[in-house]
Amino acid sequence: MISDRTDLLQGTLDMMILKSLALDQMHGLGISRRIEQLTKGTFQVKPGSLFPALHRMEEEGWLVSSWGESENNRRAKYYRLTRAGRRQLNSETQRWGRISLAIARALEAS
Amino acid sequence: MPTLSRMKNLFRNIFAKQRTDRDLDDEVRSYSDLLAQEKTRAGLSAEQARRAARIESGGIEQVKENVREARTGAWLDSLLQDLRYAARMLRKNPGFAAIAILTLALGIGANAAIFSLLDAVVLKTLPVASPEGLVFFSGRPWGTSSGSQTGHWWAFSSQDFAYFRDHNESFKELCAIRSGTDQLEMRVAGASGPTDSARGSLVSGNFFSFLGLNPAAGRLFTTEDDRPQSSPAAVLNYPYWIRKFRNDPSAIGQVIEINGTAFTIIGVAPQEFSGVGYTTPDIWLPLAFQPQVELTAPYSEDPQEYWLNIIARLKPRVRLRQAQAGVNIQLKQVLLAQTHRETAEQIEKSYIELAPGAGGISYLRYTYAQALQILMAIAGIVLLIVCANVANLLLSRSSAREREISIRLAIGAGRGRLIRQLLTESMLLTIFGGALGILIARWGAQALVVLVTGSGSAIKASIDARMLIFTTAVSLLAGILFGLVPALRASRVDLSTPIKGSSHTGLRFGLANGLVIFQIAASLVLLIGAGLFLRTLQKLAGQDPGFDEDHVVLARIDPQRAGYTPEQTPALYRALIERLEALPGVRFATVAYSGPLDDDTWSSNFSIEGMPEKTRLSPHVYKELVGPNYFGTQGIPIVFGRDIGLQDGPGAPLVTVINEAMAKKFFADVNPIGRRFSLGSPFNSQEAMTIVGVAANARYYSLREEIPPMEFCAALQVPDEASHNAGFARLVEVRTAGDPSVLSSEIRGAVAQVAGNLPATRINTLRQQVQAQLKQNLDAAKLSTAFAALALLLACIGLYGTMAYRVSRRTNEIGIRMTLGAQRANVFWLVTRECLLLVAIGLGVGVPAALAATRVIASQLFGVRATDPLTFAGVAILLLLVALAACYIPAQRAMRVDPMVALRYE
Repeated sequence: MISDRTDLLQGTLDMMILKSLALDQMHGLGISRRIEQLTKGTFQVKPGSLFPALHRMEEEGWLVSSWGESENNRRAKYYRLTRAGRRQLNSETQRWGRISLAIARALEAS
Repeated sequence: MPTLSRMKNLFRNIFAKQRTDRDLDDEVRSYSDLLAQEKTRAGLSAEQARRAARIESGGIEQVKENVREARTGAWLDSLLQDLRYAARMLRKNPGFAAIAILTLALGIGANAAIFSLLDAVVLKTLPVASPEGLVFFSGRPWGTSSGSQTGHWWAFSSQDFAYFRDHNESFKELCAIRSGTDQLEMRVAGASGPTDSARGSLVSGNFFSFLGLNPAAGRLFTTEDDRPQSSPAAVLNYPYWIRKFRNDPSAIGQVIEINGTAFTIIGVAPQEFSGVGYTTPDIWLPLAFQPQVELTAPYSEDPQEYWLNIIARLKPRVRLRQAQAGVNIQLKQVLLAQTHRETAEQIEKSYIELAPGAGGISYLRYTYAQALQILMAIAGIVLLIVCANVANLLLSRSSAREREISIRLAIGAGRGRLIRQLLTESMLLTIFGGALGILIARWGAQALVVLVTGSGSAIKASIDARMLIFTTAVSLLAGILFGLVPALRASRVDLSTPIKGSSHTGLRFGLANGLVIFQIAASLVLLIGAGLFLRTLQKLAGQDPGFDEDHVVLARIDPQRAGYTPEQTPALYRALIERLEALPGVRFATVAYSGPLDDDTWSSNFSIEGMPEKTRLSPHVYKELVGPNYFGTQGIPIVFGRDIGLQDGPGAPLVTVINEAMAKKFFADVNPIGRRFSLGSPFNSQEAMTIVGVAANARYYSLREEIPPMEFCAALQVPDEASHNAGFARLVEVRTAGDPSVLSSEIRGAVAQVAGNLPATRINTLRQQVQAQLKQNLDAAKLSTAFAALALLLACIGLYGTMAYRVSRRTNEIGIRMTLGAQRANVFWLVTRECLLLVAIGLGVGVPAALAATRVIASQLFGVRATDPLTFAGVAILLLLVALAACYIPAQRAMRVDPMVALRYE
């Protein structure tokens, strides 16, 4: 398990959140579970970092939120990607691809 | 992120804070609920599920805090929080807040007031085109004599001016102004009734174009206007136009009679311009009309008439020093070319001192610049004391808050955040103090102007943007400086000690002690300065001026302007004296040239009959022209011989009375009575006067300066115009039996009865004349006393604050001492001793500092040395007494400590 408080992964957390919302709107716990599922349990995002990230991203205009009903009739706040959020996800994905490729190459070289 | 949405976020986070916070609260709670639900489904009991969920999500408050930190404007939010907290802390300690704010306001206000005065008098530049290029031929264009006597040239003849103008390399242009101001009798042409007095300034035709000024109305002079054959033209000063013509544009083209000559008003000078000289003229006139204005032969034709001041504009890239060298070479050339004037030796030591003229030439600036700078330094010291005081207050308070601070540190407050919090508090204090300080400054600057220059002064000390910046800078700097030290100290607290409760004593407050000592020393310096000024004033006012200033009225007349010829004056003087002495309540009346304590003096060299031409003594004497019974009227005793009398009229042998200073210097071994001397050189038997009396020394033009050798020749014995003695009496002097001030209208009436065209102007008493001379000394004394009192007050607040705080910290210790048997007197002494120690060290530091500092003001003192032991001792005792008073209350409080309460305190 990787600690979600690692500074290096600040940008990564944003990317994971954007990715988890790519298909459908979701509430906080849902996002957290979705990230766990996507990363096969490598990332466990705690509310202490999840909510600041969500609010920050909402202020950035990547997400919008609205109150709704959860699957078992609980009130929950749902987040959904905006167009800007989708663009951000694309550019983050590309950037990540480049970085991981570069790092992988660097590590392979002797 | 676009600015607009950022603003929206900021707005929401700051102003809709409660709603966003509630929303966040709901969100985090719902997360927790959902998590709990998940756990229940996994098989946990409801209670267990909730617990697990709470553990997994971490503290709800923590999460919320994290979100808040991530929001836009988090810093602003915490700033507002700090401010709210700071305001609450200040409200909780209103006494502390009031003292700190008031202290700051006084210090900042005093500084801003002085600064605005300094700005108005010293720093402001003339409102003309590129003032930085202007230079004056001498920065001190007034005095008793220019030229060969002293070697310092500040006034020039028309021929000199023409030479400089035509032979100059360093200047783009030169222009000339009549030195001093002309008294004008002005009347709108055709109007009846008496004339109005106005101040006039004669200027060369290029004056306004030289300064690059544009008219407010009409047009300004050109070189065409400055020719004797041109039609006489006048330019009005803006305020005069408003005052006399109610800024009526039709004033342009109107004809006014000035000293009997008709001038046409051609224009009005720009509003912001009020001349370059040290007085503000009402009317500018071209130099070419000097004979008509001053009712004399044209000065422009007399190469020995030094009547012009010169201003020049430097060529670009020419330095003042270069220009100065060039001008001085030219001066020597001029003097050599005009062979009639100076000896080679005199030419050798002749010089012109160019002075930058950007600020114009100002008597006030010359007189007060140094005084104001000293005052600024004093105000600076006061501000330092203020800062020390507030630092001390904050320091002692932050020590008192050690416990609070360490608790806050212990429960996780960041050190940076804590420092920010303490800084916010001190900044809040300074901002309040600064705001109040501006109010004090506004009031204080005006009060200072009135104090220094009298009301109705041309100086406007106003609060402008620069002053606001100055004040803000000082207060912010002060806030940061004395906020930072206590804040840093406080946050370095060892976490455990203060929480456990403190009972330590001793001299932990090295810094606080240092600040108090500094305050005491600084106030000592200021008090000694004030004491010296007060002693100077006392000595000046208390000295015997040699004349009796009670019951004497002075009135000014100008027979020359009124058109009298020298031959007519004896009859005029006689008539005046007879008419005035006939007034009820008048004991004697006489006339004189300038009288005592007048700026206008007249001096000459002279030759004593039978004395060798070459003598070691430079025979130089101040001369006065006096009517009969002059010494009787002034109350100056005649030591030998007799007073000038009515019999010393035209045709009688020429006589004079000399003063003791002259008798002592030039007739040390012989009886001066009966000796003869003549003014000028060599001895001229035709003009020689016989000494008939020796009068006691009396102050002449100054209460400070040594009494010079003087001779008083008889005004009734009018010699012809070519004589060295020629001159007009311009003063009427009356000794009254009763209150002299009630006689002015009678005197005015009597003079008008004798000569209708001879107005008696500027009537005042000799006592007022003396007081006018004392005024500057009075100002120095008043100002320095005010500041010293302020400093003393502040130092007392500081001392009181420190001692009071210390007593409250030592309540516990004092309680123990009392339980162990200490008497109340012992406790009182315990506190007083500490206070005395601080004062003693402060005095020890202050006395040498004062010895060094008072040297600066030594030249301003009279009759008292800068190291006057009486002043030093007196001030030290005063300071000691006041300091004791300041620590009396804390000592009293210590004495009244109840041991039981003190011990239960822990």
